[in-house]
Amino acid sequence: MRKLITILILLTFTTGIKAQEIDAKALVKRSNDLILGVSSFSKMTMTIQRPEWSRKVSMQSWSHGTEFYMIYITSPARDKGQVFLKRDRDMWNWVPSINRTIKIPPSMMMQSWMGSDFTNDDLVRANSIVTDYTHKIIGEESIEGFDCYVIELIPLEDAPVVWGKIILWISKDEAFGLKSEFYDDFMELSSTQYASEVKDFGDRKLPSLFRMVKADKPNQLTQLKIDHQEFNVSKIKESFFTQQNMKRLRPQK
Amino acid sequence: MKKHIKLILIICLLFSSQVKSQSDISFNSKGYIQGMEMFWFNNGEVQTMSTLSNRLDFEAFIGYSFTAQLSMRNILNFGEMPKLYYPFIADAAITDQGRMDMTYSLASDSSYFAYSQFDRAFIKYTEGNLEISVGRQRINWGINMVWTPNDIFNSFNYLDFDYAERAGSDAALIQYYTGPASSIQFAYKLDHLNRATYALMYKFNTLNYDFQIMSGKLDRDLVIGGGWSGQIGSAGFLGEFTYFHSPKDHISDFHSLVASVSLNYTFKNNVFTQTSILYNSAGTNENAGRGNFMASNRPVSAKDYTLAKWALFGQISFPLSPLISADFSGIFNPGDNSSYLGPSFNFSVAENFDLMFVGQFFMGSNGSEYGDYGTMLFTRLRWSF
Repeated sequence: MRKLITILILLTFTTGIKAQEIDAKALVKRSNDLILGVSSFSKMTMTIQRPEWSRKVSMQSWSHGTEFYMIYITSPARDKGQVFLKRDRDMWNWVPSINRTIKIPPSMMMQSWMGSDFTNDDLVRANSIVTDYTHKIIGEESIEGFDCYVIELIPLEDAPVVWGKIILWISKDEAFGLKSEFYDDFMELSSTQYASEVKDFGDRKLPSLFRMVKADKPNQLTQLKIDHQEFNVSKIKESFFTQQNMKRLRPQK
Repeated sequence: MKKHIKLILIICLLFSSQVKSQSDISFNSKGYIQGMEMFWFNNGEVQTMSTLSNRLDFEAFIGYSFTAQLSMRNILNFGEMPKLYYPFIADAAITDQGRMDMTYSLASDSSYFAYSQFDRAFIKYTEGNLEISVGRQRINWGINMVWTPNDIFNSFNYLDFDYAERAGSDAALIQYYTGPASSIQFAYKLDHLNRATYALMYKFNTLNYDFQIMSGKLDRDLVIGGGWSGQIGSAGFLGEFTYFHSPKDHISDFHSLVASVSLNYTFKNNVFTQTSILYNSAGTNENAGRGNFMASNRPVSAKDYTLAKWALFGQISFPLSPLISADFSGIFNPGDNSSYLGPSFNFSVAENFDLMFVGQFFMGSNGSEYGDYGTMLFTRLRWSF
């Protein structure tokens, strides 16, 4: 999930001439690192909002770098207790009601995450925003009262990415990713993500509310709210992300 | 019955004694309540059955080392079918397949029956990489979604869609994790006829594939098998096979190889497609019917998912909206040309309320695998909590 946020932030950055490219890339990376930390634990709620109805999914997530994470679903009741484990390129889904671990193939990664406007891939591959794109600063703009660089991300050839282009708005001082526009292969705007409500999470401040709006369905939105976040948690090491722990993971109070 | 209540009491006592000695204790519970209506169309007649049921799952975590789970179903069936097939439907439902009889008839008459069943009741002890679970539990060694030849402990009937959790086994399971995605497991199970099933399995992950190999005994058969779960391109590619070697000193004994391979692919628009094939070396290319309609929901063994030599499965499912999902699946028996079609629709009518419509259309000539079941329609409303 943090990766999602990272993506958003990264998206907010990028574009430029050669000298700028380095700056833009560094800013995107800084923004990304800010969201990830070495390791992290968070509690969050995703709301799928439509004019007539809404549905909520709540979860807790543990991450280490960009290679390792686990997500525990705390609600809705139907899915409660399901766990997703990612180790590098492998991803599994533990379904306790049937006592089975399902390996998730790459194509399933593009499936929408629990019915939302986010995909599994958003969760797992967000980090590629630093390494899979060129970054160029194309302007400056103020978002939510923060002075931002507008950064354009163009995917590298052969990069395994799904977007044709990404535009990121990253605040100059704090490296908050405050807005991201995702463009498809035909350079048409596909969706926009907005970040807001900067909150103090102990050792750092970060936006805590993310809204994803599809370009062709402006009155539909998926919102992700970070309720709690800790960074650089010493007990979250690589060795935490195992199938054994996936099955015995319990939500934290 | 008294014996088992005692057993449950002992489990509870064990817990409470642990509670005293360990301050770190937490509980988890969930479940659902549902109503389901079934319509069965066969030979120009319609028969119905209503089911009210609920499921309760309790988990207790005691310190680092102990976990316990207790799960039960409470079910009331009524309508024409319990009456017409009295007492067979009720008798089949309250026959516990486990070593311990943990299915309790609550009340019954010629027109209804109610029962409670514990399908999970086990304690798990963890010490480092070692885990030992004892009691009624689901030991799920299968890989595929439809036919799972490696699932020799809790093999299930795919058509029984209303019992996703499936029955548990009365068993002991020892697991030792040899790495982040690898383990050695040994399981020993006894069933209601005191027949033993036991096997050793090794699971490991390499080249982005999960692999497993296993060997053991299923009642009188020696068993050897294996399976994998990986990908071809971005499509999921999985399979498993089991060879059953029979002592052949009895007329009903036979060797067989059961294998199933599946491919699945999810398109960017969330359309999920899947196909599976099942091979059963002991099967027939002739009519593979089992007769009685109740056979469509019978418990199965990994050795006899079908009497046919070959079976083909296909599925396509997709969201019609974030609240409505549609699923079309079908099975074809190329030996007797019979088939099954199962469309279903699920509506998320409110947070935690799901309304489901399921059709089960069986087609074929008399005596064929799917020719004698007619058509079944189900509607189910479930509240999860």
